[in-house]
Amino acid sequence: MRVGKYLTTILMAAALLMLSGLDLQAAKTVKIGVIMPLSGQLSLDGTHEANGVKMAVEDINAQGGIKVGGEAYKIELLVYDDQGIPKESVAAMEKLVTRDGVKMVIGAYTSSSTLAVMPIAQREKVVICSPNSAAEKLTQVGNKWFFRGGVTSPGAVRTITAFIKSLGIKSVVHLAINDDYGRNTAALNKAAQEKIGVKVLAQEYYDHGTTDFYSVLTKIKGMKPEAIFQVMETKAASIYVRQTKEIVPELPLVDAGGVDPYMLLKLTPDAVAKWQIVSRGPALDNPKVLPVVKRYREKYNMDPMSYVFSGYDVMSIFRIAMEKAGTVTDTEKIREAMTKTNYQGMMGHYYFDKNNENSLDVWVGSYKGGKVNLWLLKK
Amino acid sequence: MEVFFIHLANGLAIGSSYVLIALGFTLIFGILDIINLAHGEIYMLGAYCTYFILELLGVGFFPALILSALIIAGVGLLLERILFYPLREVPLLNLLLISIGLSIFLQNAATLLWTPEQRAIQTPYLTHTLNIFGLAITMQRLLIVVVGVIVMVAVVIFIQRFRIGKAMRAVSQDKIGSAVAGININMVRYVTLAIGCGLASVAGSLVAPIYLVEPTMGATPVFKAFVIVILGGMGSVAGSIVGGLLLGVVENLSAAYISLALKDTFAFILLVLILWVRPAGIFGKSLE
Repeated sequence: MRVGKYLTTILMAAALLMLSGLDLQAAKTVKIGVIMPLSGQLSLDGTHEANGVKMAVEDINAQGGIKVGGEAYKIELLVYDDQGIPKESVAAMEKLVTRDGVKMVIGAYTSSSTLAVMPIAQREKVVICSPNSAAEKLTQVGNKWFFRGGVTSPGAVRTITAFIKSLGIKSVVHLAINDDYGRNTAALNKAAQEKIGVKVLAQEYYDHGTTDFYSVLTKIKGMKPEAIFQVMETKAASIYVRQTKEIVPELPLVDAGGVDPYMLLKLTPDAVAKWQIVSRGPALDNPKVLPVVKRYREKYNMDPMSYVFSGYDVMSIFRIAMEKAGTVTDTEKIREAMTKTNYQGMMGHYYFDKNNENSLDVWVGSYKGGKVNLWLLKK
Repeated sequence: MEVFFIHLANGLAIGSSYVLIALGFTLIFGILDIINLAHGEIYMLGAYCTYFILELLGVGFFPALILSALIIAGVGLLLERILFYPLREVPLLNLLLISIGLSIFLQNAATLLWTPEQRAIQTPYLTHTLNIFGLAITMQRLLIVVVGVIVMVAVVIFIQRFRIGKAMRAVSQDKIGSAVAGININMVRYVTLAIGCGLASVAGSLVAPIYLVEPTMGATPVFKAFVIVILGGMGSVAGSIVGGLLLGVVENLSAAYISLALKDTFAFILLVLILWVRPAGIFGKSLE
């Protein structure tokens, strides 16, 4: 009986010691949040971007994780669907930072959504980077916790304006998506185009989800511009471009960088002859991206949109910042390290200025020969 | 001035597609008292069905359209059997919520099964462009109007002349009275859902070559259908036809002469004006 009690105590003590030993060996993880539209009108782009981040996380974890302070932290990715609606992005952000305790967030997708969640990042001292939101405003509101991971609207504008000049176009009508990105991009491009003497005859806007462009195209036809300049994303463009063939088949259509040229070709091969490509991402056979392209094709059975590369690059930048800062929890240090980013990614060379703005550029191109041709404009 | 007629024609073209989807919606509401917000997803399923039939069986566009309509009508029968019939005693508002749930389920199931990637349907009608008095219109768009008119006429004749159609009208007017008169209410329910879903499928299949097929394509159309049905009078076939065409025209004219971004605003102004003058809708029964 006394032996029995001793034995039980010793056994329990041994068990406790073993359990605490097991605890020490459990894998350390760091949670990273992702806010992307996975359903709704922007699900295509959002899913690709989230997949890019996932791919990078797979690669980092396969190498052991984020190496900080002698420990390796595996990344636990928490992906939330905001449906492209700012209200939902805010809800997702609040969940990520307060309930899930996340210190770094990749997102959102639309500039409107990113703008909505940025104040939360500042309040909670969380580092946030959007791989693609392009509106100028994002880096001008003085929020030091936000970093822009995709080509900016002003950056793209310079190249696009030079492109339009090289095409010899003297008058345009703008057709832009009616949100922060669309309005901002259209305004910036208008100013730049007018500066080089291109007449902007009108600016028309359409809402997300519009499928019927016949009325506005008929209207534009009446204005007789030399070209149409459209600020739209791929889903709308693929529907729109067929309608242009019907109503204004003779007009060149200049993109603002929101459309994936490969997807457009795949969906409407017979209607893209007049499309002047402006691509935020490199050609799919560019050696810098070819490995990821091949893996993506194998895994998802489709070509990656440039958002995949952006998502991958931003996750890579996060990892470098955490490793350089030597911490996965001290966000002040991580933020400091982010400002010193000097990274050659798939999408270009990433470094940030005092407003956490990058200097990425866009590619221009054409569909000559029935395929996608991209090149960097010489300025 | 002639540009006005082009805009009007564009409006009637889009209006015809609205009518097709609104007709199914209003029949289901008028006869079954179900506001089916998943109707947009039925439309989407019709489009996908046509896409897959064209891809896998390589038949012509019209055979695919008809086959789709039959398959989706079958889906309607299935929905009645497993969802709406067991829940027929549930209050209207709860049925509305259930239909929203069904809509979310179908949309996400489609996204899961077929990815958010858009699918393109090629038909010979897309490449044939006609020039009628300065209006350039592809045969596909003209087809929406032509098929739309044929379907509208067919539905009207059906509910006026055929026994089952008359039975449907009777049930929409007075359920209990119809039952007393010996009408098989359950049969009418099945037929209504089959026709309603079949119409949605035809609408989806007709516009799919123009608008591309993807899982969320039904979200906006069902919303428009709801507006049209309120505008025209809930449960009224004539109301759906007039309402659909009117909405298409108003949207197009406001997009052309004012702003594309505001076209929904004008559609709503139209709705408010009509409800102000006739609260039950143009052809609706007045609310006592």
